[in-house]
Amino acid sequence: MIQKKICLLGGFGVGKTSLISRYVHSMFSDKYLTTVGVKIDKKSVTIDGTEVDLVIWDIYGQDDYQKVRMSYLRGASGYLLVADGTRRSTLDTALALHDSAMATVPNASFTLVINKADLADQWEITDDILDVLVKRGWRVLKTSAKTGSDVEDAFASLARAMIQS
Amino acid sequence: MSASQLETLLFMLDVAAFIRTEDGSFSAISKPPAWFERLTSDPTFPFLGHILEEANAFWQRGLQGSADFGPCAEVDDNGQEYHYIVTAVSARSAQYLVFQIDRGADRMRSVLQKIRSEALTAAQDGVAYQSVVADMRKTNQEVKELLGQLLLAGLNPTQLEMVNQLATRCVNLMAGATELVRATSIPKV
Repeated sequence: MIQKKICLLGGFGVGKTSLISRYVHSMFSDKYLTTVGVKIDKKSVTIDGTEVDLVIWDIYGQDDYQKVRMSYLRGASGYLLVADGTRRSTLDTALALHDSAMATVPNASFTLVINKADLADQWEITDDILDVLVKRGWRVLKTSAKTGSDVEDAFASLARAMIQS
Repeated sequence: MSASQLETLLFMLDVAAFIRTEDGSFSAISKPPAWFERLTSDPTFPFLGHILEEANAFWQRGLQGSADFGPCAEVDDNGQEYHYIVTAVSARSAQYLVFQIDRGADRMRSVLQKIRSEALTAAQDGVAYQSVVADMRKTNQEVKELLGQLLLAGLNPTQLEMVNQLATRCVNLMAGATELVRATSIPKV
């Protein structure tokens, strides 16, 4: 059994914990509960016939009060960059975290996840902005931890990329 | 202090302490507290890998002292989240790994929760306000067009004055709405 470490990075309130809760426990709560420190979950999956133990690190959200320590990424094979579609600034935070992560784990795979697709009518992050990143070769997915839309895909596509790299 | 006194003390302090043996394994100094037992319910210890990596890096530096890792969050049997800190200690020639509850993390969380919840609410309110203002702008434009039609219909001086006053009120209304959105926006956290 292969074991791979995945980290979730992003600003506060973008839905990192909710994505993990949906993916690992098939649960969702509307109540926002901020994460302090790191929380580790595990899920076993089969990707293209390969059994993988995903060790998923839910890392606290970054803001002016808490900067993410990149040492948490050590040993990670991949990371999900999470932004909240309704808040443009969270994409900037995700991009800044990506720059920092590249310095720590340059060979790690990553996927950009724009969460809260259930609030699509309130999104500030437009397709034009995302198209620029897609043209750079980024994997970009729109998810909803609330409805579960594309959450499995987000983790599966990252896991697939990690296995293939 | 005797070994049994130390063991009692560590247990009462809710601390799980281990000494690193020569073969790299760990031997418990005292009976670990209940909260620590939950961590080890998964025999693969998914939380431990990275912590050990960090601890080993510290020990290999050969310095006397300690290095903290965490806080790490876990959920107890009641669904309540708690936080703990792991400390790698190097004292004389011995190396220890100590796990203890981080009560400061709960206080920090409570403060951050308040600040971030307010910021999220403000962001949601901002979106809602902007939507209302957009509707108001549309209505304002429609009123202006109606006033324009009135002007073209030919008005006496009193009616003309009333139309001008209505137009001014529309401008003021929109300025007020825009200011309301600006004033209720909380700076980004």
